[in-house]
Amino acid sequence: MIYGGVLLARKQLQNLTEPMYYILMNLLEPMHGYAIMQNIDKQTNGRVKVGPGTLYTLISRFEKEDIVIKISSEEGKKTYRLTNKGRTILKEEFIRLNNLVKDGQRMMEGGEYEK
Amino acid sequence: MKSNYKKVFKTISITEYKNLENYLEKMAAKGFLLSEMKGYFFIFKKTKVLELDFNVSLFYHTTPFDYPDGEKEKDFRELCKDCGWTFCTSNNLYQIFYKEKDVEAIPVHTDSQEEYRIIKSTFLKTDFIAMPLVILYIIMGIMNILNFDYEDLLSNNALFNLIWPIFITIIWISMFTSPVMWFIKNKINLSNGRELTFFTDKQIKIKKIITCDLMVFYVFLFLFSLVGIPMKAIQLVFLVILIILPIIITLFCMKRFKAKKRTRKQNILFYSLAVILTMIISIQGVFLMMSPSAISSSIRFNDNAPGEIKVLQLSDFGTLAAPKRTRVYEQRSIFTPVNIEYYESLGRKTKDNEIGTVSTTYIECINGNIANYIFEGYMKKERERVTTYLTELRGYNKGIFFDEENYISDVSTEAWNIDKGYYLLENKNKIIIMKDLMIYILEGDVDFSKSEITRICNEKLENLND
Repeated sequence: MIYGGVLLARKQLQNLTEPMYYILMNLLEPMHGYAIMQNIDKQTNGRVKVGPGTLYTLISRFEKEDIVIKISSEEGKKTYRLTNKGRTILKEEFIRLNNLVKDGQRMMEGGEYEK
Repeated sequence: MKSNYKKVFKTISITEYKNLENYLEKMAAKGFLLSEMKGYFFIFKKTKVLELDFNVSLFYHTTPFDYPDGEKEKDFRELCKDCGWTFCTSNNLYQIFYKEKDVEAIPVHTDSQEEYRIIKSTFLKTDFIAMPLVILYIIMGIMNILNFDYEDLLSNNALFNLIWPIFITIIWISMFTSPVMWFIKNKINLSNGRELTFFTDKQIKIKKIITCDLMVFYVFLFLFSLVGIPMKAIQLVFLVILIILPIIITLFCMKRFKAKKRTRKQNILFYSLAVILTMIISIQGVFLMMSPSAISSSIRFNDNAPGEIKVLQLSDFGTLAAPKRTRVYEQRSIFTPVNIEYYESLGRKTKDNEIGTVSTTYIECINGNIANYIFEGYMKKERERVTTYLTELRGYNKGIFFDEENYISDVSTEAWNIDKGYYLLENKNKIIIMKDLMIYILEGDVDFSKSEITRICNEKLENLND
């Protein structure tokens, strides 16, 4: 199911950057900002680092475009999670990246393609 | 007692804010820690020498039309604090943090693409807002150039009015060139997978010097243009108030918006109305102050003819009665260092053969080309005036022939000892003559074509015979 505005938001964001992708992935479950940063660092073995400025800006942007939603605010820490629209965008990106990997794998292993 | 605080005036453009980090680090190393930012003033507190890393972040989530949203700032500061940064201070654009050099902390911005986007969007919402004004100045500058005529050369004030929109545009260009260059350069950097780069301190210093010099020169030109205007001190003060009124109103509005919570729409509407009203008052006020009638109201009236400049007086033509009204009007410009108008009148009905009014306008130019331009400019306007007058006259008196040459006719250059000249009225009561760098416009109840009058004028205006 394609949610209203997904295509538009997709166009605005174009392809997700690595920080965008990892933030959205982490927000499949409710999470607060600092935990997102720590998780990304662990998940990527320190390869991708998301600073507080970048995180805050991206989450504000996602919130504005209805991709994430704030669900609670406890002890000054705000918790966010993906909306349905956000899930769709993440899923589309996952499929896109997966296709890239599959195509790459086929070519690298000497696979054939239609000429 | 020596103050524990140091106040520094510093301007930073949106694309230069990263250089502030180096500056703050150097100050901390000298024992001055930033404690507050008030407008363009940075207030430092004296501390022990500190080895710190600073981070300056653009944080523009509310416009000047919004009630401050402390919640967003608080969230951002919390995140930075969790990552090892200590909050230092902030203003409406920047959030400043620091950490000790040996403490590990995640950099505040880790995505150059996103940082570029923030800088661009903040630039468009702040500095770039002034762009329509620049376009307005350019249009005004073009209009002024298209409407240029000889009268603009007669006073410094008129010359300033002619060039100020162009000058303001040049200042804006000097201020906007570096941000535009920054955006182009970093767009290329990002598309080539490189990090953002910022201007060096030296480049910023050069830009500031150029902009500052232009601004100082502009203020100097403005003040220079006021010299020679016969304006009373109170009028000058009023003029300055009128000019700075829009700035005062803007500051008042900004303070008002931060004092009470209102919607952005309400604030924009209030500000727009205030600006329109202020602009109307200011522009009308400035025009009224600078209008010929306002200036002539402050012209000094006296009984003495100017000493060093030779002018015609009623007594030169045998009028024995003392003049009731005399007027001296002086203005000058870099092109016409002497420009004087003197007028005498009996202020009553004249008796037989008595001459009641006489006036002299004397313009001394810096070179022959300027003199020629002013002379021809004056004559062009006179010819247009006569053409309009004769068109109306022919409309009322159909069938009667009116010859233009009766209204504008050549003056004998030999008799007057001049380079060129014209009688300007049918009764030859007005004459314009030019010799070398001098232009005289004479007018009165006399026929300037009569040899006796020519002789009197030649004797009186003795510089014609130099």
